[in-house]
Amino acid sequence: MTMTETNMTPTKPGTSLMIGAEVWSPVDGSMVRQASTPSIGDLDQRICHGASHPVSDQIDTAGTSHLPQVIALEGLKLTALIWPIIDRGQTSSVVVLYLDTSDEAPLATELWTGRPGRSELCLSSSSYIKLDRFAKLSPYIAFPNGSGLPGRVWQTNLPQMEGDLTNSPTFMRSTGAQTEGLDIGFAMPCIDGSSLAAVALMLSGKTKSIARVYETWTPSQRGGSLRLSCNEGVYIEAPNTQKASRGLDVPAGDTWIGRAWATRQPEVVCDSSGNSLERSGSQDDQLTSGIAIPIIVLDDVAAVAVLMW
Amino acid sequence: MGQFGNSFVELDNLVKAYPNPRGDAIRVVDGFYSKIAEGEFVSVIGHSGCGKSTVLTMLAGLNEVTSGNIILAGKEVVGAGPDRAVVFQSPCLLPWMTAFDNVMLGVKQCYPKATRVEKRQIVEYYLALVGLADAMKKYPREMSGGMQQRVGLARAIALKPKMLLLDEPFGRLDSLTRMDLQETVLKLLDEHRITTMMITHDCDEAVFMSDRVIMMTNGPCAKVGQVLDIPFDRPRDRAEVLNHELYYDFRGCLIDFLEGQDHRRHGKPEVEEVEEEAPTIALTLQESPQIAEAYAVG
Repeated sequence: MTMTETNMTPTKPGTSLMIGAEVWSPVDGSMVRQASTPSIGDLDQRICHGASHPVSDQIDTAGTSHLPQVIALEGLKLTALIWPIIDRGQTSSVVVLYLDTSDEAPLATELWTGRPGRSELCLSSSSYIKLDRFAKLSPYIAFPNGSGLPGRVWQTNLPQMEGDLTNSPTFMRSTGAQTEGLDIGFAMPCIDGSSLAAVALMLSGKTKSIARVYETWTPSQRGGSLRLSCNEGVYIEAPNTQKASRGLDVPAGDTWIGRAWATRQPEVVCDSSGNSLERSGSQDDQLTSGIAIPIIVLDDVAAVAVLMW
Repeated sequence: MGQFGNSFVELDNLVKAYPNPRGDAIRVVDGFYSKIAEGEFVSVIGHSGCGKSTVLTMLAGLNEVTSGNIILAGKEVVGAGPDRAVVFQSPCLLPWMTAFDNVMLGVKQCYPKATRVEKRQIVEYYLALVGLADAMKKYPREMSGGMQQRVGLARAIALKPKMLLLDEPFGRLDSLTRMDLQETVLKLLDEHRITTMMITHDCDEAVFMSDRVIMMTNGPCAKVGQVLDIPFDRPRDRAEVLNHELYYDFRGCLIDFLEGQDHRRHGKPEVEEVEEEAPTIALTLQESPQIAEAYAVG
């Protein structure tokens, strides 16, 4: 395990649970941190200045098992989602997303996987903050292909998002979401070649959302550039970014989103000097960090999932 | 959870569409998936008209499948057969025959090589099992609705089916008779361990009786919306189930789902779920035991 220096920049206060992301890659048989985007000053202290990295074991496990991991770091008041990127049968990198749980805003982080003898996705691992009912019931719930956020991810191979869970016609736990104050949902596939290894699902309220921008970029029909997948964007207090994203073409290799597509590797950005994040509108919206995660199906990058906060 | 092994019944992407002279065929059921383990009791719940009974009648072989497959014990289901016995809401007894003769009708078909005495013993055994030892010679008109449904149940189970299909079997009964008959069915299934699918509107009934509840979305184009595992031990005791710490959560989960569907029916129009540009590569679902182990350890 090797770590590099990290940047620290304040983000718009009080609106986002995501406070940092890291990208780790295998180098000479061990995982090395290549990039990170902590954006709250004490995150780096929280995760790096201890005796050892708090999720190093889980990063190794995700890398070798090709399965994502969720871990509640209660002492650090963080939840970590550890996400392997599998390219041509090998773990090319591991993404770690850190969610702040210090002020106990409602947050669900769930992993849904297949199970022998079942045709549905079942809950394998989870972490809940202030969601007693979800925590109690979710282990007994399963989603078939095409139903609920996990089932829709399975059906489309693409990340899925909902900006209004309580009124969503396709979110199956909408009544429970209403009861427990959940508004935003984001789900993403972990694909190993031609099979679905897992779906990660994150749910939060709107006032304290996981991130402030959720997007799925897919290759345009003509190829050569990425476009925002139809209706696939949720924006929390980010109207300028939303406006700028519509109709935007991102050529391969251009900006961090295009680089994630071209290199097949996750890209993280962190604005440490007041510059924009190579995205129109992001500065006006006070977005300071972002991550682009390639979704690789068979040999192709089918989409790039983008989170900004 | 996890008490059942490999799937005994597989319903794979079942579609039922009816021709529409004004346009495209109307898909009543559009992609119903389920795997059911041997001996498992699965309920299907959903709003009226969503296509629950359509799924059951397709599984019974009484309703042609438009597309998709049904596999029962390793063989594809094509048409009706004695390996699947159906109990409908109405017992459908032949009115000119006694309870004994109504059950004997099926026994004669399914046990052609049995002697007359053996057939008689089989009928008497199953009628006694459903609590009708003293009413074998009664005609349907002489029996209550509950008693008639018991005859229907005995008739179905006497066939020794691989699968029992119950289509709202207690729907016409008063609540006391309904509870009594629910317990009779559970007792029968505890003894005979027949794989069962039950269609019901009743959330309490589904939670009390099932190992798993399949919740169907509203039609047209209905499909499985969500599945709820019910981990209560068997044999089940009603008082114990009602006092279980999860009982009201499970019941609430089903009601929430149905309310959510209701909200959709009367509220916003259904949006297209799949993006037009979505890729069409069908991913297989990793379901190796290693996944369960990996997360159990983690």
